[in-house]
Amino acid sequence: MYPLLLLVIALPFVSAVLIQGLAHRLQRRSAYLSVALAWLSFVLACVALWLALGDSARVVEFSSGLSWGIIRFDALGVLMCVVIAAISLIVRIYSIRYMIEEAGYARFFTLLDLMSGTLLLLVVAGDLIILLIAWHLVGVLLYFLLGHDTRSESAWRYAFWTWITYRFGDVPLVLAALLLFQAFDSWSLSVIFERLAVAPQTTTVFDLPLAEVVGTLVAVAAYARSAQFLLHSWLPYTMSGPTPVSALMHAGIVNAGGFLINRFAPVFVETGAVLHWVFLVGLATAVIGSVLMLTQNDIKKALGYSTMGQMGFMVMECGVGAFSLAIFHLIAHGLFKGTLFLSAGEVIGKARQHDGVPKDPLYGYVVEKTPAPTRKPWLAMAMMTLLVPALVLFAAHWLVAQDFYQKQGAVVLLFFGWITGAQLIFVTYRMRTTNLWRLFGMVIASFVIVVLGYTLISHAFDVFLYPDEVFRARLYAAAGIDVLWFDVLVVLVTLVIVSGWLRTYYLERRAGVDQRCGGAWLAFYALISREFYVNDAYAWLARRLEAGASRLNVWLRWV
Amino acid sequence: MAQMSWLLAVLFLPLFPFSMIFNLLWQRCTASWLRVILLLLWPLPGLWLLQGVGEIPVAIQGWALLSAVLYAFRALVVREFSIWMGFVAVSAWALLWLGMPATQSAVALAYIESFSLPLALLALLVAEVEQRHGAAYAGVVSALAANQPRLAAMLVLAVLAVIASPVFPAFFMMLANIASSLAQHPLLATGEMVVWLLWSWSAMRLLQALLVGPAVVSGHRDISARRGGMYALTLVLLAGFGLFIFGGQL
Repeated sequence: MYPLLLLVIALPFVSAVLIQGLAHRLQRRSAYLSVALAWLSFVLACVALWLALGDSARVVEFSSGLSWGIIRFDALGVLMCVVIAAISLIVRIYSIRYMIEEAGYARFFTLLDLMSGTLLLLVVAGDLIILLIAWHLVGVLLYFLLGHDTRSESAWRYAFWTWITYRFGDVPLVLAALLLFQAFDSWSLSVIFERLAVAPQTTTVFDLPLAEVVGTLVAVAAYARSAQFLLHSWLPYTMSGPTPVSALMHAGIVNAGGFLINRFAPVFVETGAVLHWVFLVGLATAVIGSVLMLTQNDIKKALGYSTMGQMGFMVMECGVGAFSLAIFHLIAHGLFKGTLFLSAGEVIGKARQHDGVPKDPLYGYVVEKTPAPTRKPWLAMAMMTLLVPALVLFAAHWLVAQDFYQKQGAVVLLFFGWITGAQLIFVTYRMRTTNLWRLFGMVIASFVIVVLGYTLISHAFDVFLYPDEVFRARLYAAAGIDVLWFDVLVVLVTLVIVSGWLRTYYLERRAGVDQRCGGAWLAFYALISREFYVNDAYAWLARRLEAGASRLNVWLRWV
Repeated sequence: MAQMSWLLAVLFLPLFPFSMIFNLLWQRCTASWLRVILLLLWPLPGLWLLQGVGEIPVAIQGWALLSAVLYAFRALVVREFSIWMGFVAVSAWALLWLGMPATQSAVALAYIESFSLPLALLALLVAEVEQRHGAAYAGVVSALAANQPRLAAMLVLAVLAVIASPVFPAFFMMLANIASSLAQHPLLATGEMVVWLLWSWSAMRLLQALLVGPAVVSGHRDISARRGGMYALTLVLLAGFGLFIFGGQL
């Protein structure tokens, strides 16, 4: 049965070759061939997942007989296969009609198939060479998918930004792979991880600890792929590409960073400070991405920055040792962001006929600056957000383990649950309702579901992806910090978030903007409207480099 | 090794400023067959001279890296395809001084050919563009993807092969070369990665200028299906060599 699973990866490539070879005969029907084989690939991926659910610790490897060329079906790879196969199937079905009037219809499906196959290859790569090939090819294919419209200068300009960022991200991964090969004399991931576990203190160049150096390089590669701050500028601007490509990119391709960190979990488990840096980069990205998202007036660009924020959140989860939670996050994000992109066109179309803005008190408050007619019980809501996680914490302390407070991983999970749940409350609260008690009931129920769901699902993912309990504990330990500092940080972040909510509450009560800091707010708005000048800085640097190269060429007479 | 031999070696495995001689010659040769011969044969005497030389002195390795970076950097703003090819060829050949052990001539030859073969193919394709448009110059030629899609597709794939994209031979040879440099000094390996990155930058910048734009009625025909098939077959063969022969050496 297992050899059949190789078809999961092979079918998209077969489809690409057939479409390209038979394009003139198949014409528009080439899309149906692509979809049919994508269905088959998806079904086989589901079968693989079914087999993995029975024994998640089992790793099935297929080797080419060379020193590389290993395909590895483990829990992580199989789960990601299902996600990629599902999302790319939906994107292909959507594209059948969406792309029908575009030139290069068959080429689009060929590229889409190649991209799906490459992504699948990436997640089941059993050695560093396959991983590097797939990692590199994703960048190449994305470049041509984003530039599908060969008449659009802007699409190609931003495709180029993506290309160069991705190539920048390839550099550290290549170096990490070669350092691992140099140290352990094997390309096989299984062999490398085994040998690293036996000799975690192995050193590398400049006598530095191998795990730390490789961990850092892998993290940087993941940052470029997952649009972390300073390597993010390509993401919000790649909206000139076809919508199905945006959906695939935001739902699947950008998540590769989270996958990569998970794939190298056996390296990160041996590191010390690397995961703390991963956390900080993720945190900065999540905050900056979310702030930038709020200031956009273009729905697609707002979605782009929203993805950046979510990617920051995902990387942050890795940084606190919640590796499997990051996988859950990327799956959930992939599904909802894919849906948003695929329906963005419909929303824009409807908005052209009717702006869809309800003329309710909220509209009056935001747009017409009229005071809110009724006082809203924000404080009661905020109290609920604090009480429910506290109850969960006490229950866990009482029912699960006496030392629950000491487990940073558990507290972190709960913290994520609290943040997510609380945000949900405030979003739900914005919904119009005439029955306040019903609203309260829904809010409490959804909040409990989110907090418990987050905790339970992350535990389920933990057990599935990392069945070894000791390894799981070591992952959290690798990301752990001193208990005192941890508690201080949790309290501090809680205070920041709660004070933000309270500030919002009091501002709403006063029905206006705080005028005392008007100048500062304006300066801040100017800063974020220029997106922190990151793109300007890169453009300036690129111009200087190109001017330097031109000058050199003139001096050297172009020879 | 005698001084004369070193001198000849840095001429045929060109390092700056000796690389200017190759580039001058390259730009003077306009016949495509001559360019193909030049690409395939020029570095071979250098390779032959390096046989049995043992360790390459660190100073020469540094010189080679700077030379490779210089040409990769200069290629960033090149808008004429044949000049770009000359710069990339010189940059790629210079890297041989860093990673490849001079004693293992078979590996070194594989490295050279992994770049020379796709460059030779690209020379033929560029000649096709020049035949139709008078020059392969970004700005003069545009919208190639819309006007001559078959030629554009082959050009894209050949460029990808030249800049060491997977699964073409140069990709595997670059990995082997960087691994070898890494064993000597991490800065050499990092420098090679920078060169690789600069090739990618310049290639896409140039390619984009040629490919993108609205279709126009120009009267220039695309390459025939048969010729396109031959180019495609060559590229498939290159990819096959990459996977099974060059990749097998890792």
